[in-house]
Parts: sequence; structure tokens; C-alpha cells
Amino acid sequence: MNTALALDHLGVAARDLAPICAAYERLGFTLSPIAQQSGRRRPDLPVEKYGSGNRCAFLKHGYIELIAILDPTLYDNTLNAFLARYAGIHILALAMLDEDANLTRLRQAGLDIPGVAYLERPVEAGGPIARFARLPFPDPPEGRVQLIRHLTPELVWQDRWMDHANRAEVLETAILCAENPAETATRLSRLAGLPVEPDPAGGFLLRLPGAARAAGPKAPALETRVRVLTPEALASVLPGLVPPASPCMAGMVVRTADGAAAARRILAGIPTREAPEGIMVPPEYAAGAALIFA
Amino acid sequence: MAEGRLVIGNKRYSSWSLRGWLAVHLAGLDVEEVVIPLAGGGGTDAIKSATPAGLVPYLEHRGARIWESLAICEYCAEITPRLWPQDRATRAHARSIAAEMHAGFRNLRMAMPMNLGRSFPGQRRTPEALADIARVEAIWAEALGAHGGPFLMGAEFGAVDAMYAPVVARFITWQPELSTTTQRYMAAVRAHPLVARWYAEAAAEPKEWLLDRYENPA
Repeated sequence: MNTALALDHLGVAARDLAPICAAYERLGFTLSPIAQQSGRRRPDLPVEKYGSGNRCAFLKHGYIELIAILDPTLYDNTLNAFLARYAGIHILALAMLDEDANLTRLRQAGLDIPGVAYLERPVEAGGPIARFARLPFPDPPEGRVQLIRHLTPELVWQDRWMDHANRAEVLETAILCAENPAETATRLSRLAGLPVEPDPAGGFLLRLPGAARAAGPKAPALETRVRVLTPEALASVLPGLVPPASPCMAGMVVRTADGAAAARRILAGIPTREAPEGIMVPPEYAAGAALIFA
Repeated sequence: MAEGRLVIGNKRYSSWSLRGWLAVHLAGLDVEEVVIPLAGGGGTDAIKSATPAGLVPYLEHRGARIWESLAICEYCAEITPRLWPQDRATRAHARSIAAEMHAGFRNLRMAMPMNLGRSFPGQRRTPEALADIARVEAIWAEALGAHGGPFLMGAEFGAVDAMYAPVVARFITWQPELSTTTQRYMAAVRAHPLVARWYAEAAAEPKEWLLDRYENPA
């Protein structure tokens, strides 16, 4: 398969990890342990320890990555550039199952991609090393937009980290916003190898067809989506949201097992908003991302 | 011949007493148990006259006088060191989360008082209590994930579990939304022989000890 198959993860970035983790724990997520990342800046360079690290909310289908700078003396993995724009979602990763076939396709499409970029991190301090093969789109203005294949999915999607009080199960939709959505949608279409269609709200919609185990070792084949909306359309999908920049990654829809019933009870006291797709946690309470529980 | 005495409040309501009582029994101290019924909203005259701080639990043992639950845990661990994990870093983790319990979660404690005989599902979910619950769940998930369960530091029920046992009791009574991991830990704690004994003895307390403020919360 030489196309993207599913929404794999979104990365929510901040300078400090602890406050964003506390925010997501308050929303009812269980997070994996802190893991500092390492990798190669370019395919021809040696593996080095990065200053960035993360904790993740692993779902049955996809996951939310909370990423921040753990050691400012080391390579920042471009986080500072992201954070100079705004704090919030900066990483959009689409699942693939064949990095070589996708690399060939991307090169044939004229994209200057040096090769498969490998990233690794221990799943917990002193624990086994999780590895990822990535094909990032070269320097897109949206942030980090990439195809990813988990080389060790069973190490990261562990049952002990996938049990959430809010009953979250699927990272279903990523919501982007741009003054010129066609430009962003074209980039996504080229990266994914899939066509985009008009989004009824205003903008474009990328449907990812799904494949068994593409976004988690036990994940079923499930359609997931990336919406690229105009600022006007964004306000109808994520009520009250003012995009922090253009383009930007504004929010996400997380499907729960119980129609957000548990989430609604957990969110008592947080000034949530009703959105067409579910109950929305405003960005101030979700580390800069608008988060809809559906 | 008992080597001292442990002064506690009645078992249905006194969450702090449960912590001290568990530590004393885990350590196997031979002490007389003195139960003073709570009156609610502060120490009774009987408690004030029986304890230095006017609070329960209070332990006297071989000439030592110990109050505050965490201090009682530490004292018991001097006699029975396995109340804390043997590994230095694991012990530091256990002490940190035990201290966080001792010093914090006031909003949870105020909103959802311990009552072993009743069930109030869905009530008192104040935003502040929910924030405390989220933190408790994060603490438990991290500890259970790191040490493999079924108790917070692994196979053995220790001082840190004693510190969180009343939180388990509150969750059983008030039934907030909880992860399956949390519920598994709660089941393990509830099934521990000492916790089961405390529940049984609480159920056997006289009806005159029931307090309206805890039995019929607004």
C-alpha cells in the first residue's frame, strides 16, 4: 500500500510537559510514562538524544501525543519553532504500512524527501526502545506533517496505558484551519496519496480509508478524517474558536465508547461548549487544542 | 499484654484512622484498640482529651507517642521495614505519593466523605473533587504501570496502600467515573484481609454512632 491509511496521532506541543499532562489527566486520560526521544536529524547522520520528550494517551485507534522540551541544551526537534507560532497541536501523523512504497510515490510526485527518517525512544525510563519510520513532508507551514509506521507497535500501545476514565477509544478527526485551505489540502493530498473532497462546512476533507492494525496493534479498519477548514467554517465546527495562526492545527474529535457520557461527567466544572459533533473542551483546558468528545 | 494503644475514630467514617490502623496491623504491633465515635466537624471532647493533637489516629507504643497518619506509617515501618519498598527509588516514589495523599486532595475529602455503609453514586462531583480524582487516577495508573500491581508498589500491600485505602472507600461509596485500572486496584484493596476486616467491624458498629450529616449528605 503506497498511501496513508489512517489518522495515527496528533502531537500537542508545549514548552513544559507537566502542565499539559495535568490538563489531559484532568480530562480523564491515562498517560504513558515520560519518554525522551532520540533520532537522526537527517538519514545520513548518527542517532542522537533529542531534548524533546513526550507522554501519550494511547487509544484503541490512534493516540494523542503530549510533547515538550525536557532538556533545552539538546536538539529541540523543531519544537521551539512550533511554539513560537502558538502552543497547541503541531504534529499530524498519518499511518502507513509500507514506508518504501510511500517514499517511492512521494519522490515520483516530485517531493524532495531525503529518505525514511527513523525516530526512537524508550517506552519508559530504562525500558525497551520503540522505533518509528517516518516520511515527513518537507517543511510545511502547518507544522510537522508526516506519514508514520510503528516498527514496534506492541511496545507503545500497551493495555496498561489505554484505559481511560473518559472511555476515549478513537482519534477520529483532526481539524486544521487555514486562510487558504486549498493550499493545505493539496499538501495533505500529496503526502497521503489520496484525493480530498469539499468539506460541507467549508474547506476540504481528507478521508483516510483505514486498515486493520494501521493505527494500533488491535485497531480495526476504520475511516478517520482530516478536515481543513476556513476560519469561518472552523467557528461552526469548533464553536467560539479563534485560530491562533494560519495555517494551524486547531482541534480533534475523540470518539468514546459511551457517546461521551463518562466524559461529560468528568468535565463538570470545565466551561465546555456544545459542538455539532459532541462536547468540546476549549483550548485553554486542553493545552491549546480544542478537543471534542463524541 | 498489649504494648500500647491505638486511638481511632469509628470505622464507618474515620478515614484517617483506617490509615493508622492498617499500618499498625501490617506491622503486627500488639496494641489495645480504643474506638471513639466521631461527632463530625472536628474532634470530640473524648478525642481531644485522649490525643495530643485532638485528632485520631493516635498511637502509643513502648513509650513512643505518635500522631499523624504518615508518622504512624513511618513508625510502623521502623519496626517492620517492608511497609515501604526495599528498592531506594521505588521507596522514594512510594513516600512521595503517600506524602501527596497526606498533604492534599482536600477537595475530594470534603466533597466525598468516607461512609462505608452507604452508596451515593454520581453525587458531589464538584469540579474541584473531579480534579483531585484525576490526579489520584494518574498517581495510581503510574504506580501500577511501573510496579505491575495489584498494589501500588507491586505484589505487597504496604504503607502507601494504607494511605490510599480510604480513597478507595470513598470511590466505592461515591462512584465517580473511573478507569478500569483504578477499579481493579480498588477491588484488590477492598479484598485485602485487613480492609475486609475493617469493613466488617464498621458494619457491626452501633446504630447510635450514625451521623446524619454523613448518612444524608445534602
